[in-house]
Amino acid sequence: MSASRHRAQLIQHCAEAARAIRDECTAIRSAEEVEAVSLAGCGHALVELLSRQAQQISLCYRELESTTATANVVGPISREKRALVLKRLEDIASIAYAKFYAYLFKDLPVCWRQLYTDASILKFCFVLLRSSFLAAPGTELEDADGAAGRDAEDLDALVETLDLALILAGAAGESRGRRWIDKALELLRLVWLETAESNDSGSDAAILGGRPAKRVKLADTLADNVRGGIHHDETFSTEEPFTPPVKHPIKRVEALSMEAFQTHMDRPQDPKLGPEPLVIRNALKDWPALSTHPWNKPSYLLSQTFDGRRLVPVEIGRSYVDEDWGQKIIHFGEFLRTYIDPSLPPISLFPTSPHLNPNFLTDSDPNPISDTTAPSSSSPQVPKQTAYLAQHPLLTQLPALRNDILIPDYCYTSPPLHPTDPAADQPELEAPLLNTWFGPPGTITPLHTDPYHNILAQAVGRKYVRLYAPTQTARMAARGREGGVEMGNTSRVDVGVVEGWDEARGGGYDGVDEGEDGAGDEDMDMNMDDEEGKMSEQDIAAFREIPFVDCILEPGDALYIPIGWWHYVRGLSVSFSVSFWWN
Amino acid sequence: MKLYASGFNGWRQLEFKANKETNEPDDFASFQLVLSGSSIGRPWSSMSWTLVRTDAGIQHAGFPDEAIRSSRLEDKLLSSLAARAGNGIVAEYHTTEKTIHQQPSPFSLTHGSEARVFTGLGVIVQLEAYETGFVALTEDGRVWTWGDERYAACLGRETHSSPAETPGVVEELEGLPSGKITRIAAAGYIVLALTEGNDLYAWGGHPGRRAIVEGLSESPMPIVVEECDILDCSVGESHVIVLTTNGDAYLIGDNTNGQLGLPIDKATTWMKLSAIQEEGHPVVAVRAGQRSSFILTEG
Repeated sequence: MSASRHRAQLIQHCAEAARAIRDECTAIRSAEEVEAVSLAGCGHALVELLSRQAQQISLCYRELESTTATANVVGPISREKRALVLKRLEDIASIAYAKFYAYLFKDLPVCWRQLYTDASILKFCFVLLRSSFLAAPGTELEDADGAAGRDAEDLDALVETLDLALILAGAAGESRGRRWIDKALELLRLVWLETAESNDSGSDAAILGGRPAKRVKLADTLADNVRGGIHHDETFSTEEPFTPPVKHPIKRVEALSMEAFQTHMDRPQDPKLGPEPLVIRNALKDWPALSTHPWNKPSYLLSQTFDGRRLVPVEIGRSYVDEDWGQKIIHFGEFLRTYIDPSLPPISLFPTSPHLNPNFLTDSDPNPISDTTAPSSSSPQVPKQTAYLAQHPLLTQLPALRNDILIPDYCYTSPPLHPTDPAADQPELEAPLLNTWFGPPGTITPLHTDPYHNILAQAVGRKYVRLYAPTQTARMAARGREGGVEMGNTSRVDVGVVEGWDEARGGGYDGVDEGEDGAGDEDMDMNMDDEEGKMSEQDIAAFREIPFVDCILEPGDALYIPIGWWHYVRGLSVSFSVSFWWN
Repeated sequence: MKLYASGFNGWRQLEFKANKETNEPDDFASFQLVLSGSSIGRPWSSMSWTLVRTDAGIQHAGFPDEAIRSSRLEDKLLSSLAARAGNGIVAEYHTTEKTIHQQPSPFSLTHGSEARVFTGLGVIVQLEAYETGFVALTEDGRVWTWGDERYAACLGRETHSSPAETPGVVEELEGLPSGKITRIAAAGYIVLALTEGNDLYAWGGHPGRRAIVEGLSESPMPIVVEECDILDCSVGESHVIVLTTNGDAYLIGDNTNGQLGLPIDKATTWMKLSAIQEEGHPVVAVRAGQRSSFILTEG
């Protein structure tokens, strides 16, 4: 019953979007003046091409709405026409996607992000039309032969399409954008769950449409104690391959009141330096993420991500300053099983590598990770590279997880300005900026500084953090402009190498000839010892003299990082943190 | 002369004849004759629009580009004396003043990106754009590049003495064994230069993407196409087309919209195009659109 209600809502949601996109395009094309707002900035040609596709999809939905539920859901469109609509939507998305690279991100006219988003929304609506989710009870699909894997494949395609718009284009658009996509994904989730439940019980044979293979598959997925082959009690490994010593512990306090925290900031020991870092224990005691909605259980995270089908952007490589570092978009489930915790049982419920249209992700990944595409192997896979879901607004992308956390009260205090560099202060934020940091043991965020005060909340696992005061900035060996990208907030020094925890790698003082990529030598605070750019013994010794404070964050801890403090962060076990920037 | 075309046709930008059909136009998967006449020039095309100069005036196909129409740049675009980069920046050569005038993208938000004028480059005979910058060729064979520093490989030069955003000479192209540069081509993230002695050089690349031509880097390298001498060359968003002195066209790169005119997904090695030769007329020029290719024959 409710399944068909949500199905009807999803159909209506799509029908409205297709109609609205068509109407907006028509309005733009009839306007005399071309404005930068909305899609008009992309030019009339692309608006017209998008409009033609929206029109066809809108007609399909009108057909669907006007016929009885027993009609063929394929609509009035031939196979060839259907393929052409999909191709054109991909053409439009790829043209918009090219602009994401052609412009500096801050200069990118928003119309290109909206064009990508609207093309993705239309693609979702069009794929949905033929998916098994719209199949009304008793309906035979045109090509029911391959129905066994249809649900999973359709779901993959539908989720991928919208996730790419969220991740790559920020789901731009006033009238649809993120709001439309969030609602579509929630309705899709409800339809999917209800379809699966009714299949599971086996009581509603009509919805099965004579496809027993599907019953087995989805029943497996949703059995009481097991999700995606993972028992619901199972938690992430707490294994910690390496634990650095804490040499100058940061002051630790029990959860304190907002007023007490304000006092900590207002009355620093050293007024010139401003407030100092503080570890606040039991700061997250009201977070569902640490209790009823346990983020340390893979089964819970999978349950919130369409069984791991949602896509996430991850950083591949040890540290973002390394030469072989790159970014990749992968299924959340693949991220969990291949990178976060290879001891989790592998399962091939869904393809481990997204079937992404090459036009949507024209960046063939810089580090092809061939060893991730072997889901059939039953032995735990050992990842060759580190993958880190870093500095990603995951909680915006997955609103369900956003409800598992609370913004710490400390972010509603009035913090002081930057102690040494007024130019670093940013306009006041309307709300704290949330980012998530989820990775396996050994992730590294190199020594850097941010233009905001930060509460780093540790939800799962342990992290080592080392901080240097803003008054040491001159000794931090800040990078300069590198290859047209401002890197001045990041140090050339690899703390792990200086301390002997890691071997030297390319990218900083070691291995890369900085002279070739436009980084001016005048920006450097230390001289390179030789052509290889290795840090000299003297430099290492000098750097080791710089005072710092450090700590290991435990689950439930929050670390206050005042504005301007340089920090180096190292995941010790599987670790999931949320950072809150505020000013 | 005859003009053949293959590739992206979402706006009928490959169809010069009036077409009353209302069906969604599909791409051309192979080269088709699109225009005949006693005199046809090299076409110019944006993503949606194709212009070509003929004895009967400028013919056009597809969806007109309002920005180019309003700035009346058609003639200069067809003469390769104006170009528009993928980031919307337009550069135009003023022949009498010998200056290059650069206009920012109309919708760009950058505050510092005001119009600029570059002087002292010499007499420019060809001006081309790639995704994030420009390449200019002077009458004495000197090649200048400028553009976004993030894609420094497309500049083919160091950026210490001359910043990325202002024209600098590609010095590695000076004093080549087969003579000075006589023709340039650019699009996407790749730049080509052809010498008097019919040698082809290429540089560029987009970090993190597989290069269209193997070995591509920030340093111009000779491109070998079946040991042939090269007569003409052109680049699209992600494909390259060349014409050899034997009269054969070769293509390499993506075929997402049929821009290679061949029944393949993509070409990672040079593919010879035989279809046009069978028509019996020698190929005189090749040209790539963003996602299309054009071949011009005699007779």
